[in-house]
Amino acid sequence: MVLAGLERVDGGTVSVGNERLDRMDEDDLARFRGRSVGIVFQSFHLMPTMTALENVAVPLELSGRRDAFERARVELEAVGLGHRLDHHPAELSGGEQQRVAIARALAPEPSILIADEPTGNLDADTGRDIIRLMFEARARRGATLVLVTHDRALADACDRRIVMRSGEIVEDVRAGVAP
Amino acid sequence: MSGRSPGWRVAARLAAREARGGLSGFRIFIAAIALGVAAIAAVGSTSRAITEGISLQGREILGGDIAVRFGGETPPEAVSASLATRGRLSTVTLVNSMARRLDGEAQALARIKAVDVAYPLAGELRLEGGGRLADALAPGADGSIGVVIEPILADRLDVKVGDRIAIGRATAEVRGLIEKESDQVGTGVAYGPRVMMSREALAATDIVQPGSLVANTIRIALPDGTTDDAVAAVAAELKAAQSDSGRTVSSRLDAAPGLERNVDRFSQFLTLVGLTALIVGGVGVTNAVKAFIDRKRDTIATLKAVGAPGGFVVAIYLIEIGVIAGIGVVLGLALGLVPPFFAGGLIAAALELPIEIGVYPGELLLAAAYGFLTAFAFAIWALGRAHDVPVSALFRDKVAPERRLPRRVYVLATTVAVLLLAALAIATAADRFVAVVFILSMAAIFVVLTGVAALIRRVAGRLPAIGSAEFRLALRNIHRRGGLTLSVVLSLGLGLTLMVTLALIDTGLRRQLTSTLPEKAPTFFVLDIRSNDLDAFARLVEATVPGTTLETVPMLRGRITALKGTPVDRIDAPESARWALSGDRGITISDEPPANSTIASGAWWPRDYEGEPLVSFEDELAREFGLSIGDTVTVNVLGREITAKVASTRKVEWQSLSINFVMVFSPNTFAGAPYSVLSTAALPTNGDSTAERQNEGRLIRAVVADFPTATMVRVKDVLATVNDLVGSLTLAIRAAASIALAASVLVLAGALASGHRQRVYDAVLLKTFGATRARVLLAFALEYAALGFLTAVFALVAGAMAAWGVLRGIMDVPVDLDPWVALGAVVVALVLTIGLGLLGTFRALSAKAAPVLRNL
Repeated sequence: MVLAGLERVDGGTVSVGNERLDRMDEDDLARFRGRSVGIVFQSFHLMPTMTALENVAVPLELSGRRDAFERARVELEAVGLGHRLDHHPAELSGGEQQRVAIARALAPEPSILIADEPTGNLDADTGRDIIRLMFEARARRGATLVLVTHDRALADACDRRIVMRSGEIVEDVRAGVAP
Repeated sequence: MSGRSPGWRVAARLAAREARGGLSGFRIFIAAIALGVAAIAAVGSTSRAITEGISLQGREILGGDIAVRFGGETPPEAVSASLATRGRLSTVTLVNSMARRLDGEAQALARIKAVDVAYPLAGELRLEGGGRLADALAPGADGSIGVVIEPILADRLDVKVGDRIAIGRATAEVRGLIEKESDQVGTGVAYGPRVMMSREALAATDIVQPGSLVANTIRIALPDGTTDDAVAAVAAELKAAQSDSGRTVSSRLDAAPGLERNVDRFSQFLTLVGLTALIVGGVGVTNAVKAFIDRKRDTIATLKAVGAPGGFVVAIYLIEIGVIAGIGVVLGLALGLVPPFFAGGLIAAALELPIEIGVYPGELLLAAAYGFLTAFAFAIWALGRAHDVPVSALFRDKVAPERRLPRRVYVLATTVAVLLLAALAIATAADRFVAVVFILSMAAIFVVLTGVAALIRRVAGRLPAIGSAEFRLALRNIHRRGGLTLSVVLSLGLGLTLMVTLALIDTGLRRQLTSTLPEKAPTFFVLDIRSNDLDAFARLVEATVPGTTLETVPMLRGRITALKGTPVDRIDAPESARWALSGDRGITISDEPPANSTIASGAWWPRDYEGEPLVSFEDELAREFGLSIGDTVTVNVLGREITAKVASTRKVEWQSLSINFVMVFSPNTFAGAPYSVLSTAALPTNGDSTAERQNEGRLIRAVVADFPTATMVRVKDVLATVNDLVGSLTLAIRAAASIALAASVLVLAGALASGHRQRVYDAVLLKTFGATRARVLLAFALEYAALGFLTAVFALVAGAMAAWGVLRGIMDVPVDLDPWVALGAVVVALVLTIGLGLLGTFRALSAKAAPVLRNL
């Protein structure tokens, strides 16, 4: 939350890259997210009135890119949804919706990709597909993937694992190799 | 949006995609805006159709291109001769008198119109069954005169074409019935049905006396093809030439200014009522936008999560709301175009007004502006909350407590929109004062209603948990934040307050006009008794109906030509006082202050005063004209200019219906001038209405037999006529007000429906805990009833105060709370809240428990 500029801290400083989040106002934080952070939610949060293509195009449009729709198409094809561009969220399965959400998060090419329990609402097989997709994207783009999960095995697959309990960091391990 | 935001184009694109969700949550919003806009557009278009009709047919209404009004003055030869150089002339004289059956069995007040052979210069005078006017008005072989009359007068006297009637000292044969008289609008119909005769015949009737209510007009037909500009130029020239004579000049371009002014004022009043409907609808707009933003919380949060600044999100939804308001406005304009076609026809038929029905863009634009401004004013506050929807809402169910107020920029935007709305209402008003009072009262009622809602909620929360479970549940629901209380109190409160106000004004006015006649109110006004006939008249009255109280005053007619030396056409008098400067006024002379008036400033002149002419002026008018003691007033009486000094001002108690005048002069002012006497006759009353009616009939017959040129006006008839007029005006007001009430019902229904999900949840929980459906229903009914009742009580208090303000402050009429109005308001409120509320709740009762519990 703090990393994505969604929550403000009561004290201290928050630096992401060269930017001081604690000094930004609401709108600056929104622009920071548009620029640098992609978020994938547990319950997808697609806009129900928009097609898959339009959903992915929104952050690109917000950042004023002229090729918003072409980029969105490329991103959707990359997550294997090239044949579902004009479908509305209600016409997509859970796994497909989450893939749209990943495409949307990746489209502006953020330096940080945050995923909050991205597989929590999916069955095991679909969940695995989604994770693979995210790890591949991270590897290909060189972005930082921050994954919030209760799945120990999944956490073990990451470069660095931070365990939190009641708001406190209880463990911080740099290990493992991406699958 | 700030400079670095994505811009309106992107916002519009996203808004278009967002709008695919459909209009389902906006039906009430659209209907409320459409209703208000329709009301304002309809009123505007209808009144414009009337004024446009008047100006398009100005020549027909005026009976020529230019009219010079001389009042009681006979047009001097020299003036007529100089006017004749401009074009063809026609002289018309209007005077009131009685038309009587020869057998004395019936008589009626009539408006006599004497015309010459040139009449009509413009327009048309059509007789039923055809026939030429000149033939009909030619003298009979036996010396009788020929007249044509309005059919309604023929009915009243029960005469037909060929019968004879008496007018003044002449016997007249009814030669025809008037079917159409195109200059009737311009010459007024309020004084009784028309009798037309030749100018020679008028002389034979002998009804024109010094002091008679006579209006002489010379109409001019300029050469064919004279342009509007040329007409205006001639009118201006004549005006300049006549400016200090007190004569008035009007042209076909302003044929009926008084009528147009009245139409404007009345339509302004109806527009304000329509604006009330819009503002009531505004509550529905707020409710709809609030619910919309609630529904869109996830989408808003998602947009912000992917980088949309708060202001940009608001812009997206503002565009959407704007389009929805646009749908309401367009619908309203379309609806508003329909009534003028029906109402216009009715008005045209009823008032014999020319009417030019059409599409008037100016009026529609105004209605649209009202619609958009209202929608914006009521939407932006709720919309502003979208700015601060936290993205964290997407991660957890717990919702951060909402700010009480939206950001300052949205509060500011709301304020600006409200001020613009007020400015528009004031700027387009015919009477700014009324508009300002309306807006201030509206604002006050709005603020007070919000306070009342808060108070009801707080009290409901503080009441101890006593009584039945149903009662406690009702109390808790009333107390619930974000519950129904505010929207119900606001929407129902505004509509009901307006209804109560109008109902009380209506009943107050009618009571004043009909049942609360002052005890010593006269039975008759008797006009045009000559001063030297006064003794004989008094003897006759006493002999016919002994015990009749006669009050007589000398009466002359004259018009004000200058105040403080400034000619009246250069005086910028306030709207409410202008009547006193236009046309002839009755004036009188007296040695002592008239009854029912008190000296407000200055002093009355001594008996047998012989100094310079003095006048006592009515206090309120004196103040409006800025007249003070020692200022001069110049009047033209019988063609003579007389200047008098203001010696005193008087407060007049007009309701007494006794004789009183704006101006009372010292008797030496008009020494030697001929005058007639105006009398009031108060017949003795003994509670026996049959006997009283017989007395009245006897007195009329006796007076008109001996004094054929006198005119008797029954006070009760006048009041009945006024009552009828008030009745038709009230009908229009009620129609407009019912639109406001319809808007309030609509908003109320919307508010009650929006609580539906909560109701279902409540009902399911209660049933789970073992409540029967009847008990659940009772709890809801109690809540609705309490809200309805409390709102009705407030509406009664506020409505009574508003009615008191109007009746007491503007018309000086007492107001009392009619129990029927009070009962009606309470019943309407209860039926609406309980009825509409339970209608929605009933379905909630049969909701299956499992799916609800699983989802919530």
